[in-house]
Amino acid sequence: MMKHWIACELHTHTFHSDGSQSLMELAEKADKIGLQCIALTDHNTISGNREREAVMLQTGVHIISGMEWTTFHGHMPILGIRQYEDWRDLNPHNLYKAVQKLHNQGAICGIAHPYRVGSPLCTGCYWEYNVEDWNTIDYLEVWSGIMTGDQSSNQRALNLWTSLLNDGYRPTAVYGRDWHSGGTEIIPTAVTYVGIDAASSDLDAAVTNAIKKGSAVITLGPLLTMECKKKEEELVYSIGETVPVLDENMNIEVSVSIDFSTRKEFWPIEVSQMMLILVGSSGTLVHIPVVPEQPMINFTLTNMKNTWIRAELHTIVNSQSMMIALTNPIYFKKVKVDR
Amino acid sequence: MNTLLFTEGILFPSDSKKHIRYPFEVKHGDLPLHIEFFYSPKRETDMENAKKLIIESLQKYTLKNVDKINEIWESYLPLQNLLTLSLDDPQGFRGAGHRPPSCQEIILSEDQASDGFLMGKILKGKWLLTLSVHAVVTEECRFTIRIWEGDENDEALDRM
Repeated sequence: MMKHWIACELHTHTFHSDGSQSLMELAEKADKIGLQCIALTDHNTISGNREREAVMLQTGVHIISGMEWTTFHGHMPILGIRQYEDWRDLNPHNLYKAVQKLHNQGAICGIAHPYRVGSPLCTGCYWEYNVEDWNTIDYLEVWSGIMTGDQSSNQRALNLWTSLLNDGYRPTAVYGRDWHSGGTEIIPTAVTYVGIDAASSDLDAAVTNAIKKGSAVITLGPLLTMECKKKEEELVYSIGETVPVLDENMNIEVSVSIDFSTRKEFWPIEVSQMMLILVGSSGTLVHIPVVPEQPMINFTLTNMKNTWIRAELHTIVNSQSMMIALTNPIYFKKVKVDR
Repeated sequence: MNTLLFTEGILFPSDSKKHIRYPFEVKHGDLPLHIEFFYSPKRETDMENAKKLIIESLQKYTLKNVDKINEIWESYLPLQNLLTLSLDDPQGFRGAGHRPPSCQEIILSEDQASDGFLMGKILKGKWLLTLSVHAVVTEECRFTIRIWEGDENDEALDRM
């Protein structure tokens, strides 16, 4: 089914914790910059939900109920929360049970800015929890905050995510602005586009399920998406899905699409020096210059040994190469054929 | 106006990353609850200590070398204490005030609640105030918490 890509901001704060904005102001700002959905993730409280219905009605921006567990050892944003779950008994070794409670109520949980400088400069911001099983972590902020200046902690988060993919885990990569204030001026913030089935009527469930399944891309500019299919077969696989691999010699036809027009007025990036890079578990697979006149790029991968592939868009800023968009992977899994 | 809890104390850097729990009893219920919370100092003004703590933190949490850390440490000023409050009533969570200000007044009633807190019936019975010590960076940090029930027209205590 055709995917519908929703521009989201998944990490926000209001007066209900330490934000400098009401929920109404936040949603109005989101609407002004072309976002269709935000998640309300105030620190350690869900009180902002009392304003949710009225704000959604007034602004047309969908608001996912959430909270950010802001603990002494790490920050965990939670989406689709129905009732308060407590963080105050957490220590670095008992996260697992607490996360189970979140999943039991249908919520999904992520790791915010895992490598942001921690206490006491930013209390609990650096992720120090022992994650017993990475399958229990639904998503990871590989990009966080304002996307200019020192990006070393974002780079470390991206590296962590890549190593988790190579270890066989599938946390969904997202961007979290950690939106406390400001917003309608054009500053380097990114967007998470979440790919939902076009027919979805329950946006809460559609967005959280899509994130859980890895159907998301992040970008500072153009909307980058990718599909693939096995040669001579009709079934098309989208971001977050798994292609069964019967034969390592099989050929995979990959189609990358770059939408240069969506939300164009909100991203001031030069499109003239872009490169498309396809990365897989074995490393860099493809490196192609991109021109706006050709927004669709097709190529074939032979001898498919990778367990995952993702597309990245890079450009040159101040003579340096910079990643401006990233998809979550399409996965490949060996399947035994019954003889 | 009826004081349900009054506590004051001194915290030290070794108290960082602790929760301190203060149970209190609401005997009558159905009157608005007021919480006054104050701590001081907020900022570390001893620049030598601030520099030491910031550099330690940057060494622990970043991959930057010593020269780079010495170049950038000042951009992390001011270094501050952070204490926050959260509240539970006999049936569960009633809210949290996770925000920087070191002087907070919280009101809770059936149809009103300060930002971060949940409005609803003020139930009779055992309540719990949790003081979360996210960071103490100064030599010591003094705090005061007062909880009282009553209408706003009641005589207020001297401001702390």
